[in-house]
Amino acid sequence: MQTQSAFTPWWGDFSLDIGDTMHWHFGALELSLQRLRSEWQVRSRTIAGLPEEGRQVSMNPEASPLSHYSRLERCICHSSSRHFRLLPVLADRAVVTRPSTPVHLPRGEKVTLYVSSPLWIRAVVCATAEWSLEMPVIVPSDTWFGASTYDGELCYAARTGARLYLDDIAPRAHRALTQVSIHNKGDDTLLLERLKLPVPFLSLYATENGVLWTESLSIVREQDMSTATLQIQRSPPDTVGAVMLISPARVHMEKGIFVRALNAMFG
Amino acid sequence: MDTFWPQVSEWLFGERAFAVLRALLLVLAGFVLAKFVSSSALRLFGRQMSQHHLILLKRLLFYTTLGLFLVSALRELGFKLSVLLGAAGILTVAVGFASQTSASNIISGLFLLGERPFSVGDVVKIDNTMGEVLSIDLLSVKLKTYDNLFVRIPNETLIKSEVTTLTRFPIRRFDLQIGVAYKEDIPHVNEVLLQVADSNPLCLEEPAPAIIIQGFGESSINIQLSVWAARSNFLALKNSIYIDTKAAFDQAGIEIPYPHRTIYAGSQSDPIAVRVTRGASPEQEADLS
Repeated sequence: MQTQSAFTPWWGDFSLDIGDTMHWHFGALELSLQRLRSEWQVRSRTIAGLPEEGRQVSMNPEASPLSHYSRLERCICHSSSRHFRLLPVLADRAVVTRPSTPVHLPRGEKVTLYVSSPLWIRAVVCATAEWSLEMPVIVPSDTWFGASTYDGELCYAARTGARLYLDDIAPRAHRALTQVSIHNKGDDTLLLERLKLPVPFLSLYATENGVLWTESLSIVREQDMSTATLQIQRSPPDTVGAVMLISPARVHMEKGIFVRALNAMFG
Repeated sequence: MDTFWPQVSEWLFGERAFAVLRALLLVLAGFVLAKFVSSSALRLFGRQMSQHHLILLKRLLFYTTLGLFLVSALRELGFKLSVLLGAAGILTVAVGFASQTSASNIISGLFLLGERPFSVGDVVKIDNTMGEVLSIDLLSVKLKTYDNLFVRIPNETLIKSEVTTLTRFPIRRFDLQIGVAYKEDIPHVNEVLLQVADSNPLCLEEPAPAIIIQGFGESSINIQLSVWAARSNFLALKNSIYIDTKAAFDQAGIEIPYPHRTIYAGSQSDPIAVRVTRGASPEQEADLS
């Protein structure tokens, strides 16, 4: 198994005194939480043109003045609790990814791909009402996944492609990794051009070194060649070591198995 | 006087009074039951059916139930149903002749219900009117335009007109028409336009943005950039793509030309005299011209 960089976990429970503010950088997203006497103010902005190497997570960085933030959300709490929670969550729609170049998978062959998905930050403030706010670290592009322009599903497009080797994915503390194994049981070659990940059905786990993973996915192209079975495993791959559940799936699924038409998974 | 009280007494306590009472009770019970049945249908099928079908089902159940109770009430009052229906038939012919337009609207309405080109809540464009469908009724369709006007369109007009439903499909295409100067390198312009589409998160990655060279215009090479967006983001995409394209063209030094006119005086005439002066003041230039 390839190695992954270590990160300090940035999620969890925090506390603020009245009048105090905390700031974060999540890649190009700058976030600030301010606690007032009976109100929480959540500010955010996207820094344009930030170089790729600068896109890491940092807490309490040299913050911009509050007036520089372009978005402001306010939550009134009669007596605001000093505690709040910050959590990473996965996208609310499926994510479509593609290999850097289309891959042919001959019959009987298996392949394991690694996909990096964008994350949303969920800030839970006002302990009594559990008010939360979500914002994407990077607003992903929309994309359409379907057989025609009227039959399909609106998804997010993953900016980074699916990779054969984990080391080819640049380590990011604000992205989640998914291991996808594909087995072609059909009688002909399967062309992998696009792959739809059912992200709302996945949970987020953190490894001991602060890397975020989702459950592994296993896709089998069935012998009838027109359908594929997708199974959500119980956890991330064993090779990443011990993991801890950070945020559960947005949509709970009892069995964790989808059987879909082939083009509903591979485009 | 001797016959008055017995008559009143017979009216109040006789068989006829009880018949009227029973008829009233039937109408009342019918009304309550019709309300209950139609509301229950809403609760039962609320998730499976569209709003349009729900309204239709609700009305159908309400009027059928109420109609049955009304017929029973009339029977209680001693009316014969066959005679009533016969009279209704004659009345229908008479009313039909007298109100051809209304009848046409009703029949058109039935066709519309069957064809179902749009539902309540859809945004439609009918001739020059665009708005959200508030209700689809027996005689007309009611719209609310974006400038908050209430528009009633007769069903007959709808059957004869071209109706565009803007909210039928989840994604829409926007075509940006733009002209660039003849001096520009067209492949470079295409690259810049595709970069604009790629960096806009509202622009769908698939179906992929497309560029179509529309031809050589009077003053510019005309290009069409076709991009797709989720229906709900269509206006936001339209605005942002104009802003982004202008900014990208400014940055890349690509000229969006004004209309050019070349004045030609004809082969038999002398060319138009033009004198070029340098350093002249605006007043001197005015004198020279």
